[in-house]
Amino acid sequence: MRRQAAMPLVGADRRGSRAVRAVDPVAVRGNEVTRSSGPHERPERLRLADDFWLIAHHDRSGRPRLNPLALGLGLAGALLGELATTGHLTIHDRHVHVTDDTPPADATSHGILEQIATKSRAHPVPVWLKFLAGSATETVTTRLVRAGLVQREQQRRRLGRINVVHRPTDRNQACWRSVRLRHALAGRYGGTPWDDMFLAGLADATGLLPKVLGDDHPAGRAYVARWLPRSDPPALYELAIAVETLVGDAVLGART
Amino acid sequence: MTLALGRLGTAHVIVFVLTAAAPLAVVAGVVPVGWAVTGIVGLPLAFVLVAIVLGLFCVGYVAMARRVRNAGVFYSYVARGVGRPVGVGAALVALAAYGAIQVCTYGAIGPATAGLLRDTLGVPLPWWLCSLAAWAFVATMGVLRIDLNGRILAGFLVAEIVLLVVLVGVDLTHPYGGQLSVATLTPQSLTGAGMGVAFAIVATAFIGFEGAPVFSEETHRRSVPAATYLALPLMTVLYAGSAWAMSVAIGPANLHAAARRHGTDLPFVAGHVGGGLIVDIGQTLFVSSLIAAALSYHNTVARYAFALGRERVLPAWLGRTSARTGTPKYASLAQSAIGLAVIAGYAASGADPLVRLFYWLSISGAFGVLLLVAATSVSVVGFLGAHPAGESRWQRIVAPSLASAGLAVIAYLILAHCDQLLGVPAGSPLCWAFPASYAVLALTGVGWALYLRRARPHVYAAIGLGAPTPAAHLATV
Repeated sequence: MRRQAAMPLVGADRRGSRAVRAVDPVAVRGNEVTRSSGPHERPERLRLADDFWLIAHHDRSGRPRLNPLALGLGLAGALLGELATTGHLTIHDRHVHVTDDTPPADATSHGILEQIATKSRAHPVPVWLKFLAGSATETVTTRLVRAGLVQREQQRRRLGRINVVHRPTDRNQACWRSVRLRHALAGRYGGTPWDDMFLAGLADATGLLPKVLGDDHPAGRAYVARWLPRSDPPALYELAIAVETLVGDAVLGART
Repeated sequence: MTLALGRLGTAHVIVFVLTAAAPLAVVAGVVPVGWAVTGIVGLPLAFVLVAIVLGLFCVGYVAMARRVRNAGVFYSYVARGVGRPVGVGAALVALAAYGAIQVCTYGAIGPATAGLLRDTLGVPLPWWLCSLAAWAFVATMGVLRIDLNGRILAGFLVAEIVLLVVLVGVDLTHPYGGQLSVATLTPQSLTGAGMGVAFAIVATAFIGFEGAPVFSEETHRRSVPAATYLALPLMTVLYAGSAWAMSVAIGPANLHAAARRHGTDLPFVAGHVGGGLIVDIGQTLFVSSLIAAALSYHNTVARYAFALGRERVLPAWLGRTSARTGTPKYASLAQSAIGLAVIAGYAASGADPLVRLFYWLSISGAFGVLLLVAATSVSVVGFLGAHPAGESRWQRIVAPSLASAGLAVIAYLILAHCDQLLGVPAGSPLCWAFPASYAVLALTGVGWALYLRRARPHVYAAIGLGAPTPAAHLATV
């Protein structure tokens, strides 16, 4: 019974199920829950890459909390993750296969799916991640600007140089995304949904997890490492692993 | 489709390799200290002989680099060529050897900087304070991954090489006793015990030549072989030429005494030009060369520890990166902590930093790297023999076998004359302590790998593959 209680659930089951509320692998310290969205209320969901972008940037300044390479790879993983959760693609033998070529609702996802579908043969996951990582930051930022979640700002710096930052339009919402993920991992909304588990996996792969979970990150990391390998769809786990590998490769590819 | 980064050219890789090799640090550090401690004069010839063996090694090495694109280099090659247990043993030896080489640089940076400050500004500082400043610099750069600008590095490197060439010119135009002595190039200069001692010192000097394959992933196909084959002869000519020129200017018979008197200033005073300026410039470049080498080896050690951490062979925390900078933060901090402890230990004990820290640790580190090179050479035969793909017989078997034999001979000669090498009495415990420590590390690695094979087969299966396999992740939970 206990073991089942820890099993993350997906779909309608995750809501309101008493059994899964017992999950509390990450002890969230203090009571930081925003009043308006209490622990029992299901908070609004964002697209995976949008969510990752907001988690990976400072809520106030809009500056990245991740180095550019890891940010690009994390966002690329999230973009592919979106297509995996909608059932448009799957990973078989570490290669990306299109399983459903009906256009996804989102134009960005559609563009990526088309790129994958036009290839005559399947390419390995790292190849797609590296390819998408090059433009992922720009792609997702553009989508966020279009959705009104982020606004473009020019800042004048010293020596007349102009610096462009993308700042979240609603700081509370931006800040909330990290807190929400922490709560999701702590089981405040019932069993952790697979997409949140995947987001946490990406955060771990890119080195962002300590910033999201603070002192609780070892427990959170153990929780993700335990459950993500059983992800549904399995592609989410494969993507998170591939991102971790590529981030590590970048470290080893010595540029110093 | 490639990683969205600019590809590096051959020139960039050469600058990286030569910066790690630190030519001026070799000519002003390793060579004079070697002369001072051992009194063996035949270094110039030894440079040429060892370069030939290393050149043979490189034939198979770069062929392997084309096939196994893994930045964990030696360790992954050995794991793939000879087997995973030996691979893990090699990894631990690599960590210790490069760690020793990294830490030893502080033993030269401190006294050289202190001497420079005393002579130019008249400020007397203890050596360890200068070492600590360099340590703080390296520790910070290692964690922040502020890339030393390639052009600045190249600029310093060119300045070093120009200085060395000028010094050679000055030395050769001021020969001792009015004749160009070739005594240090004759086989007689290396007879008896001298050979092992000279080989060890020279092997120390060449460390860094093996760096190019780290860039396999980021360069064009030909850059790694080209950089390796260009860097090795360049190093040989510079080192052998400089050492010979010094011996001409000072006179082979006087080398021991002169090296004892002048220490790391030897190359700059050898030509009797005596100009204060050239000594100051030389000392400054010597220090900068050492600091660049310290940083380079710091990153090498951190990368090895990181590679082992992410394959879960060593604790996983070593394999984590910093979010903001993407550096192997914990691996880097661990190496810095060891560096600090060593500096503090030497400062507290009052031991001579130049001989006991710089020279001893660089020799023992180099011996470890030599063992790795030998193991890699054997694994090249193993790997390319089992998985040939268009390599010639020469690349697959002949050259690596000859290199392995040559390296084994060199390693034997070093061990046989260890007392003279370290300048300690025959039978001193130090003589067996340093090879024994590598044996212990290698055996520990083998034992650990065998344990992993039984207890965590998924981790074991991923050894040397450069990436955590999905199952290896499960195994850590």
